[in-house]
Amino acid sequence: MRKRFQGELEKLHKMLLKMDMTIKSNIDMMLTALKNNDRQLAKEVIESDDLVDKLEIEIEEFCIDIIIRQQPVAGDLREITSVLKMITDLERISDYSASVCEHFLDIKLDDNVKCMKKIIKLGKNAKQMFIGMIKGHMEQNDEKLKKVNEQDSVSDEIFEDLKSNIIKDIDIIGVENSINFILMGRALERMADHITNICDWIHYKMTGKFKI
Amino acid sequence: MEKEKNNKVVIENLNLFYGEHHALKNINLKIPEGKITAFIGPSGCGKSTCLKSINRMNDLVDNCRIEGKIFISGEDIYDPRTDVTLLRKCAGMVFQTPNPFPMSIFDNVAYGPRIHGIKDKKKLEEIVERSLRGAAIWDDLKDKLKKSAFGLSGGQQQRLCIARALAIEPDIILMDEPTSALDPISTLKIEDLMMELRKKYTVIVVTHNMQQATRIADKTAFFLMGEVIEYSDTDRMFRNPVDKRTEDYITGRFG
Repeated sequence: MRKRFQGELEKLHKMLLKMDMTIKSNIDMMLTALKNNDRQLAKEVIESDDLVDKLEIEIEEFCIDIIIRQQPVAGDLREITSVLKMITDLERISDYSASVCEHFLDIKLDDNVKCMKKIIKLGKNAKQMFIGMIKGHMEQNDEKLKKVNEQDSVSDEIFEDLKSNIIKDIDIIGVENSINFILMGRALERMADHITNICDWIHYKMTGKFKI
Repeated sequence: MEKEKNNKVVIENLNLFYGEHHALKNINLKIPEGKITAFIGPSGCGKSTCLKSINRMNDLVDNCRIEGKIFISGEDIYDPRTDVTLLRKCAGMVFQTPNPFPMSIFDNVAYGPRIHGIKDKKKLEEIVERSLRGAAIWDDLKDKLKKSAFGLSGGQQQRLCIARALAIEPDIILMDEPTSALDPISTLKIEDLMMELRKKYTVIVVTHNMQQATRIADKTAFFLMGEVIEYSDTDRMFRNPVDKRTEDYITGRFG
């Protein structure tokens, strides 16, 4: 009876997973670029943000199609609406990884190893959270999602730490570098926030309740 | 017996048997005044039977036995002292297929008031106009009141039947799949009308069309095999039903 609809839901899952994996690979590339001071790779991350934007639009259109044709209710409705909300957060996460790379390209590295280490630490935390979110979603595991959300406070702490360091050593780091580091840190900290939003939407899809 | 004030109809532990067949099983529902309440569920689940219990139409069925209580405005309608004719005046009914009487449009609407003893022509004219206006069909029909009701379209006939139900000044309007025989435009007109009616009446509607329930109903009861599985605010039911059977039915996994 629901054969076509079921097929459409499966297709939607695959599209969402593709968007997840594309962004995960962008985050990986972003981290590698930061670690290895690889400017070319950073440029690739910035370019691949376009693909994510394209995927977002494709998923959005597909969801609207499903709503028109199937008029979903209950769990089906939550599935579609939560995907619509998730892809907005996913797109922002991809924007932030591009943004980190843009600021990275503006930084003169020399003596800024300490700040870069903190940025990489923030990036690693965001990556871990992102992977945890994908796993929690695939396994429909509320506990895993909850843990991901708890990890957000780690990002907040590292960012606070980074800010204090920069304020203390602003003369050594230089104003322009400082601004770029702050903006990178801010982007990575916001990335973690968007990951928690996605976990909340997965939780909503599963339970009908808005906050984990 | 005074029941909670905002509940127009209160059904308590209602069990209904057609001979050996246990058609309604321990139904408990509080139906709010001035709202639209929808009964949904697969064929044979008992939703129409439950609707008909509210104006005691099941009394007309042989071998029908009813246990439990139904209160309308606090009055027990199955109390032996209840006047069934007055009860049916209080709860008007509209059926699946429009069923105008084989008489003029005017006489169709005036039929109920005449039965209840109104003879004065002027008074009857007033009632007919008010009822047809109430059913949003006065402008269409005011120039052809003497014509046969059979000449009207399906949608118009159904609105005429609603006008006929309004003519007896009921408190409650019971509707048994009122749009299932109508085209989409007539359906939307009836739905608009129901939204208007709910300002003055308590509307209870049996529908097979779940989208219709989501469009118009404030509350929805899901029936399955003679039981009420779930009864809640409509948006809640269609967003996050509590019972898996409700979810399975409204998402089309069975039915």
